[in-house]
Amino acid sequence: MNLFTRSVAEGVRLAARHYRLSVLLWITLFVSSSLALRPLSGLVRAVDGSPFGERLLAGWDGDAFVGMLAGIQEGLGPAFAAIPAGILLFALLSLVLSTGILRTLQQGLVQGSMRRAVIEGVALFPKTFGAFFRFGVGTAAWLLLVAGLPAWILYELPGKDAPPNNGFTNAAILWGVLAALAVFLVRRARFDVARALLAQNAASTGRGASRLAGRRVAGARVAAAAIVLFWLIVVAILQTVFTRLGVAMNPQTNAGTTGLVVVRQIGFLLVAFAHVAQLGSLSAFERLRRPVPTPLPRLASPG
Amino acid sequence: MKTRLLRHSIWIALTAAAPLFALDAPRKLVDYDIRVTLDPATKTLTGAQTLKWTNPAPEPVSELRFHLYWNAFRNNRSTFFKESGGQLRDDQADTEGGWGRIDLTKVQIGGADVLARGRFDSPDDGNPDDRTVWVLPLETPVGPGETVTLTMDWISKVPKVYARAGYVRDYFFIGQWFPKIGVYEPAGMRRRKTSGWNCHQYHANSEFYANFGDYHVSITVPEKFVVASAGTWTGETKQGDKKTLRYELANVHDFAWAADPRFVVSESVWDPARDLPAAEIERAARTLGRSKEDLLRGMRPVKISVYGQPDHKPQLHRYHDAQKWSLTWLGLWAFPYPYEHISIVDPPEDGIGSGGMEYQTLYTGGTSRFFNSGPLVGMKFLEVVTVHEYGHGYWYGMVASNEFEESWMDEGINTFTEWEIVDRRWKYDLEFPLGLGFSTRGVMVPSVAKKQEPDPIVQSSWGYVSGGSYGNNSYFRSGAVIEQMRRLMGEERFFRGLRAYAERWRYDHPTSEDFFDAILSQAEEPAIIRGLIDQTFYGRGFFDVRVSSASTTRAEDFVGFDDTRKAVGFDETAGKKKSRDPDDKGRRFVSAVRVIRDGEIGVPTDVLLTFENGQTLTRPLAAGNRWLRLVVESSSKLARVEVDPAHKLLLDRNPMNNLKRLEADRSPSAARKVSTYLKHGLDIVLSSLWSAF
Ligand SMILES: [Zn+2]
Repeated sequence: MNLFTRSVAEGVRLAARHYRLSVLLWITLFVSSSLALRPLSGLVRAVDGSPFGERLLAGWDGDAFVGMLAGIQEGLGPAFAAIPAGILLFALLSLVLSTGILRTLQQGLVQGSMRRAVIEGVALFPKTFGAFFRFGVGTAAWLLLVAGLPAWILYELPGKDAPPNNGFTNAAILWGVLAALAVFLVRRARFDVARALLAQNAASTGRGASRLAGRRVAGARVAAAAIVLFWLIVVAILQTVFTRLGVAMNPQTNAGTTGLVVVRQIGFLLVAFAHVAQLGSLSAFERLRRPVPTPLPRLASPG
Repeated sequence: MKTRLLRHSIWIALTAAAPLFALDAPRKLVDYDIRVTLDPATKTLTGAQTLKWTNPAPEPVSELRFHLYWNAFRNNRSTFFKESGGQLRDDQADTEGGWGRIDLTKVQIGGADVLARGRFDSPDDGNPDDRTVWVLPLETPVGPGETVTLTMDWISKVPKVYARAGYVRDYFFIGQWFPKIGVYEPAGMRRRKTSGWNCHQYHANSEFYANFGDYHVSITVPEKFVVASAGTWTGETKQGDKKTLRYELANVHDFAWAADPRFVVSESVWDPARDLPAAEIERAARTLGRSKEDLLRGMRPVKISVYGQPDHKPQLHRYHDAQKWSLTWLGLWAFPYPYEHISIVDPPEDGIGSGGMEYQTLYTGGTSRFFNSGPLVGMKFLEVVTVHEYGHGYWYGMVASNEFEESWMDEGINTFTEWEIVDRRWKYDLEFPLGLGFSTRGVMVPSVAKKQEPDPIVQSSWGYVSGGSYGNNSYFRSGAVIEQMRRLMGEERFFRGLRAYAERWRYDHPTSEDFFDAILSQAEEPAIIRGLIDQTFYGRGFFDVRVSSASTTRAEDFVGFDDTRKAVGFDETAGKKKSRDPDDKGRRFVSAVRVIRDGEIGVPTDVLLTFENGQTLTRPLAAGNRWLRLVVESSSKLARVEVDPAHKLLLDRNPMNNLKRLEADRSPSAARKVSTYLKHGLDIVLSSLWSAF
């Protein structure tokens, strides 16, 4: 097995063993979005007293949906204010938990893993944030340099009098998209590896972890990017399948709506699982890329 | 019943009589013979024309008035520039070097030079710097019915395109480009009291108005240019590296063309024998009360030419498709398209200022390469603009209203037909994955119903308080009010009215009241529609129907003495009320409902009461009543009350208050379902963050 398949297989194994961590992530998702939508749900209640209710119950009706939005328009501004707050809360929770999850995975403890992931994540957060900051700034810089700048040059090259959408502009768009994807995949792999290093105290600062991660990824960039890409595709498939399923359900009764919630949330639980598995994969990748290979008794021993 | 039948037969007689007034061909008052040369290097047009103008009035006319439209782009003192601020729709003027102009170099009548006699005038705003209206006093007035012949030479600098006409690189869109005579309106025409010229300045939001006639146009361009022109191509000659193309177009009031070496030409034919769906013919015949033969009379094959940009190649077939369906719909529901061809110019993305503009037998569309393929292919902007601009071939083109003075008449009626044509074919013009979608009608109507407009709809195009008010009133508000008329009148009556308008005013110049007359002639209760017109086209009225209150309580059992002096429901000697029947047998409920209509517009509607046992009760709220109070005793609890259950009241300012659900209502909650899907949407956004970091 090569680096890619070994890392991915190990990630799946770890995520399955620590399935509670996926549940933990899913809870943060459910709670964050529920809180963010509380004011909006209250507002939407008016639809039951409007002529749009029956039409929306029947299935997608664009005109009725717009009519409903126009009807509650005045309240939408304040109600939407909670959504950015919810997104921020969720992002913060995800960041805190990511390193905690990595440490829990690495230590192999199954009992009390949820509690453990939270405690360790909080303890490691300052360092995690340091690595996140470097990930953000570094990615932005590389995107500008590798994707943005060449694309801009290509775009401007033909001059002002060139017709729109010529060969250069097409190449600029293509280059921009592909280069941005490549930069993201490598940088994201490096960020995951940095967190894995922080989780095992292999670096004392986020900056140090990020540097060390750079060394681990260097020389195996393709494999690292492939791992991230693989999980990106898995998530995209999961989201598509479950969203389609949810739309197809189109419940017409209150019980049906409850059923829809259950089915769709299973999808999000699986997405959470994929996230844990990705972290596990990159953690395994880091181990396999260590300059002096060391056996991994804890991880290898059956629990 | 009988009186109704009688009235009905009068309507039939009237409808049958209407086409008698209609014209099969326009009265031709102008004849233009134009020779023009485009020099792409200097962006100049050199033109010469022979214009024959006939005085339609019973009195002599002692001056002629001309539009010199391109002088709107002459400098930043023109009325057009001042009103637009150098920006129209989404495009910005190039104030560095993009100015344009038109200068007459020679004007002769009967061989005598008369150019020096002319002067500029600004009849609308008195702007001393505007050069868009040129007045030529005549030595000899043109007598009634007489024709005067003018030869005119001119030189134009093509403006950099931002408002309808102009150039970008070597794409040229040439509209409103020649010295064009105004309209001399005899008393009575368009309901005017006294005769006079109708020749307005070029305003930011104003479009056009002219007499019908014939055009003979020769266009000279460098060899490599592809020319897209109105009219029928009749021949071509070559002189060195230049070519001259000749076009003929009869029975129109405008002529536009475009040139670009990069045009990709694609052609197709709409053939009524093949492209008219039987079901649509059937539907139109039934609704309009006409025989199929009657509807198909005059239908002819129409050649469709699309002059596309190379970067839009994957989309060009969509122009043909939308054009064919528009030919079908308008041909059946208004009248057959009489010209033998239609040209569609697809402007380049850096010349989009010329996009979405109507001329006769030629119009401009517009799209972006991002709709070629990928996630945005469901955005049907190309189809909508095609349907819209072709629709103008009727509402402004053949039914030639005055776009300067009554901008709603072309844009509003056209918005209504555009919405209908799009809805019938695609339902949603903004299509998203998962079957989600929106229609422009669905998006615009609620906002129109809610918003208090500052202006009545009927207004000159420069008379609105702002560009926003012009746009909203001329397009969406009038479109929505016409749609409201349709829902109040019903399909048959409304579409017969629209058809009567189209047929009567084909090749003629209607006013707002002519449209209303045609519609009202078909209305069952004209007073209601007239009230709607007065409050919207001439006012700023609105309406809001609402269920003000609804309750249901257990009916009190009879208590007291009955007619036989017997004590019922109480114990006379003990002075005590008897307790209720423990079985609750035969219990009755009293339900009280109040429905109120706010606002000035009186519209009739229904109030639907639904009881717990499924029984329903419908009561009308008449147009003349502002409220309805109902008290109903029944064996079942009232579950819900709905006003306008058939959803006919499109312009209801607040439809959210049209329904009251009581405790007994067991119907499922749409709010819960909507909230659930909204949550899933946010869950998708949030969980995607895991993929990001
Ligand atoms: Zn229009």
